[in-house]
Amino acid sequence: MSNNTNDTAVLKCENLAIAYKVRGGEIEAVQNVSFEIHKGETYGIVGESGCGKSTAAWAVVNFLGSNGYVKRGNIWFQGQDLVNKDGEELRKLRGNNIAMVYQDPMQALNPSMVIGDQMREVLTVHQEISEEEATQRCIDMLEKVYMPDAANVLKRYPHQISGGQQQRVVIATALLINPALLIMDEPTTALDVTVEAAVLDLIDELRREFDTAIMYITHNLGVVARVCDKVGVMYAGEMVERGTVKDIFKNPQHPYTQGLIRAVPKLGANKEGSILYPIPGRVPAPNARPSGCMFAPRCDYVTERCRTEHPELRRVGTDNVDVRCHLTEEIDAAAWVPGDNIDVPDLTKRNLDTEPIMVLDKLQKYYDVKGSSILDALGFGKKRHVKAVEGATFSVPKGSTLGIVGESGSGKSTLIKTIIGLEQATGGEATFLNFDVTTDLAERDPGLIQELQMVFQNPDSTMNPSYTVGQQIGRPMERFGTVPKDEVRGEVMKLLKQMRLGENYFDRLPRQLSGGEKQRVGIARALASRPDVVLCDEPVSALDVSVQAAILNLLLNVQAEHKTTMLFIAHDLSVVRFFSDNIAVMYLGEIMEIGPSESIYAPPYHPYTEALLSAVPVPDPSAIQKHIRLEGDIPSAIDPPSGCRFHTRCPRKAMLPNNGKICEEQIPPWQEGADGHKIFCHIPIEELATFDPVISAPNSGVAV
Amino acid sequence: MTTETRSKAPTVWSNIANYLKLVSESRIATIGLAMVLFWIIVGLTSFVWTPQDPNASLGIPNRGIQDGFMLGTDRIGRDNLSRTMAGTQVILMKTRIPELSVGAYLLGIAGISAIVLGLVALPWASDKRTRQKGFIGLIIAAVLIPIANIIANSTGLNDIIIPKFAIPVGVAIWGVAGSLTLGSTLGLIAGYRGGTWDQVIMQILDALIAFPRIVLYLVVITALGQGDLVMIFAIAVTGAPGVARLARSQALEIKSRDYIRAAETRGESIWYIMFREILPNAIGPLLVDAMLRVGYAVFTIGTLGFLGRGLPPPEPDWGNMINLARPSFGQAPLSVLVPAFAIVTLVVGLNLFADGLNEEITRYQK
Ligand SMILES: Nc1ncnc2c1ncn2[C@@H]1O[C@H](COP(=O)(O)OP(=O)(O)OP(=O)(O)O)[C@@H](O)[C@H]1O
Ligand code: SF4
Ligand code: SF4
Ligand SMILES: [Mg+2]
Repeated sequence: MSNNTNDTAVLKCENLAIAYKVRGGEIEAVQNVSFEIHKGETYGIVGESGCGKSTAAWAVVNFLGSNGYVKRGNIWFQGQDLVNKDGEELRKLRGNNIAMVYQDPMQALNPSMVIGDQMREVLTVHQEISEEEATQRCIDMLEKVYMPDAANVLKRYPHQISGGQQQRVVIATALLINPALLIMDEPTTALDVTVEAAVLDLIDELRREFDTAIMYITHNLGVVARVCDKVGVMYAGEMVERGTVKDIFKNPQHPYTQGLIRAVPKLGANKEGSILYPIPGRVPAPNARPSGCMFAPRCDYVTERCRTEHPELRRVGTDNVDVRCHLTEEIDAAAWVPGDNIDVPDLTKRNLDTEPIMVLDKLQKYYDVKGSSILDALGFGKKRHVKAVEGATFSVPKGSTLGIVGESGSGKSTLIKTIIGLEQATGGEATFLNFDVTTDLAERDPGLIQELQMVFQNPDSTMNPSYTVGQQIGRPMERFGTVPKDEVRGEVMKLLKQMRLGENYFDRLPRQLSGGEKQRVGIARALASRPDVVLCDEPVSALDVSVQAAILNLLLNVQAEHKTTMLFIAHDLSVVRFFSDNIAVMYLGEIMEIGPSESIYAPPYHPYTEALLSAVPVPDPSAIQKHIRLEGDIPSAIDPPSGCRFHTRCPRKAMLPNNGKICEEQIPPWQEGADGHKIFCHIPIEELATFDPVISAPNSGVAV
Repeated sequence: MTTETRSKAPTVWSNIANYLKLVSESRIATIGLAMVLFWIIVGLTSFVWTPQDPNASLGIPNRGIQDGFMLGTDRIGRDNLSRTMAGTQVILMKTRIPELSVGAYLLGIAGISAIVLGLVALPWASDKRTRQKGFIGLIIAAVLIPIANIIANSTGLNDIIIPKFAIPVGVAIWGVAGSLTLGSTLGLIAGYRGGTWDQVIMQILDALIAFPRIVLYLVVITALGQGDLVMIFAIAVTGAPGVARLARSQALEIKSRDYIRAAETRGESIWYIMFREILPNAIGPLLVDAMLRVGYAVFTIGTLGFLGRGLPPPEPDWGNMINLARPSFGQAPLSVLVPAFAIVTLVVGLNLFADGLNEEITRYQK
């Protein structure tokens, strides 16, 4: 039986099928999955959510829960069959040799135990070693994952370190047992791009140093391109394509893989190269899968045969690539043009009004912080503030889009919450069409409220679960009287149609919608009062790439049609590229650079923008990206650094005399470039202009 | 799955149907519901038929099972079975309004209006935009009773007497409905508004919770006298803090959702946000809790009856039945056991129903 086991494979899955028992039957979440991972190799598993990626991983560590089981196929770990073993033996085998890292580090850490105890426990449970020796090994391991001040971190509780550091602790803990196999399930999805970049570097290094086999699950093709050697693409529970990362990105063969690559935000050299093309439709639910090719309902090349005959995974051409598609040989990805069912944004430069619709002047928002001492409780304590937004100054031309980018905690959300009136400004001026918008909503005129509307980030909380789609979109119309009462229904239908949702969505409840559909309803609701300005707080960051692309294109078309002005927050620079007319980059409450979007992606760069750009994972293994990593964490917004707020982490500071002493002492000047491009830095703009571009790709070696 | 595309807007009926489906999926809830339904049917039957007249001494006192008295007789020869059946009435079926003057009615209506107006005005008062409106409402609510009092005294209204009658639904249910209205409004304001409003409201309610419950009941009943309406008032007031806590925790959780931000950025009033945006999503747990509270109320009425402070005669009251039969327990145990069984099964039934439903709802949400 074990004659077909490859001895060098650490993990080998063969025709794996995993099912969950549910009320009234069972769901086969994973079918026909085969792959093998060797020593020192990182194997990426990609696909949209609901494709069964995590289920496959859980099967290996036996975390399927009480209702899940391996229905068919085998899992071989170091030559031993895991499926037909049971009990203690299995637990031991896995416990000593397989470690897992999850998306949310807090899931793995015990909030009420200091980190040192948690890490030591891993060692003392598995082997006889002394307390001191265990401590020393923990410190060594933390240093290997570049944890600053490792000895001290051991004494802290998980909530006392940042998210990026928590994830490093989890990874270090996983490595303590020196596992043969490390499974990582979206380990960087919850992190900022800058932190993600550092963690990805780390993973790459560890694999080389420890020779661990890594199974890396992600939905982000950029991440795959950066850390993986091989990749398996999963769709609707099946593996549809597998091969080396180089081959697959150079020449994706399965239409689904091609679609995924076209849908990911890229940082190509030009704007057109960053257009996103969505994959129409959505992943079928496990109990509603088609009988032929799973991808047939969404495929551009579908034929009669695809609908009836289920394709097998087969070796194609000379590359080491296996594809599950009948027509691979006939498909020419380079000749692909978007179908009629895809909105493609019009990128011809619009003639923007120069007249600003919104003007901010040194807008400031401080939050009071409550101290915990007795003096504070009595009201005698020193008043302290979170300086969430400081000195925000810009103007937004009518009908244009301003993209706002920055790490978590940089004050992006606070800025737009202040503009829309959810928070009251603590200083500065902001006007919208000559209305003052520094006050909070309670003091605003209904006419003004109607003109500023917002689209939210989280699809699961953007809609009230108790009301239907129609009721929720209709409410703003009734409230502001934008249309007479008896025309509300018709108007809602019109909006639904614009959102590419059928009329039958009118009576649906939120729980009957997918994430992308909920976001569309959220957009429709924001547009229902016919506002002049729509503020979007990361409306796509919780969505799958293919859906993300559709929503972004939709927003662009809406904007073109209604001449809406938009403020659009994103946490990385790849998303806003083709989307924004102007972009502002924020750091720790301050705008660091602002200007027309083209000027942001080319020198002269602000040093922070440069670092952000070099952190974005690019879905192109052949791209050459500058390697700049920010040290340390974002400082506290309660006592932000003096002078330039970025000086504690700035990689370019040393270019200035005295190791950048001036940056610590003086607030930098606003330096003007061409076309209203402005940079907030002490380094002369002429010198900033001499930096190399961050990404010098033989652009997009991807054949799409 | 395919029915999804043809689904209709939810109506009250489809919601109820949904809940019934949930109930049928939980064995515990089904058993509980059956026990509660049993007592409802018994109570309804008792209006038209009981084996004997519950208030007439027809048999030999303190006898066990005998012909015509299936479950024995009490110390003055009344039928235990008939009395236990009729005991359901005051708890679940009807509330007796005593003989009162028109003046007293006026005062009562003024009191209820003051509470309702106060509950409506309080949210406005806690909202920056509508504060003035709210405070005016609160002032009106505060002067309603004195004004009604003056009117009643200065005219002859106090002399016109309206005879006693009964209104549908029993004391336990009215009482819990009262705590639900009072408690959820206060809890929603505290949770959604936060800050000073939260502190003040919750301090007051916590002080109320700190009192032993039964003492609170006894204080109210001693001050206002025994009666169905007083019992309702006592149940409503003692239950409100608990409901408020639950409503507050729900509001705290729900208010962080983006759809609440969306309502705020539409400039919706606090009243709309509390009752139209938050409450529909908090109602499930509140209703489950209310069902448990009906159970407590039945139990408390029983306890008070046992202490001789329960509902007034002539309709039988289970607690009182036990109390009166206690001295002769040795001779006629059934006179104690039968009403005790009634209290236990009704309370346990309500608990099972609430627990089962709650479990099913939480599972459904996952
Ligand atoms: N209600 C509040 N009270 C006190 N501090 C707050 C409050 N809301 C935000 N902050 C602080 O203000 C700063 C800016 O936060 P903000 O949410 O605006 O950042 P962001 O750029 O939107 O981050 P993310 O990308 O994570 O959404 C942070 O330090 C945050 O902790
Ligand atoms: S088999 Fe047919 S439907 Fe499936 S991916 Fe290939 S071409 Fe498309
Ligand atoms: S001012 Fe100094 S610290 Fe700030 S970005 Fe420029 S070089 Fe860096
Ligand atoms: Mg934010």
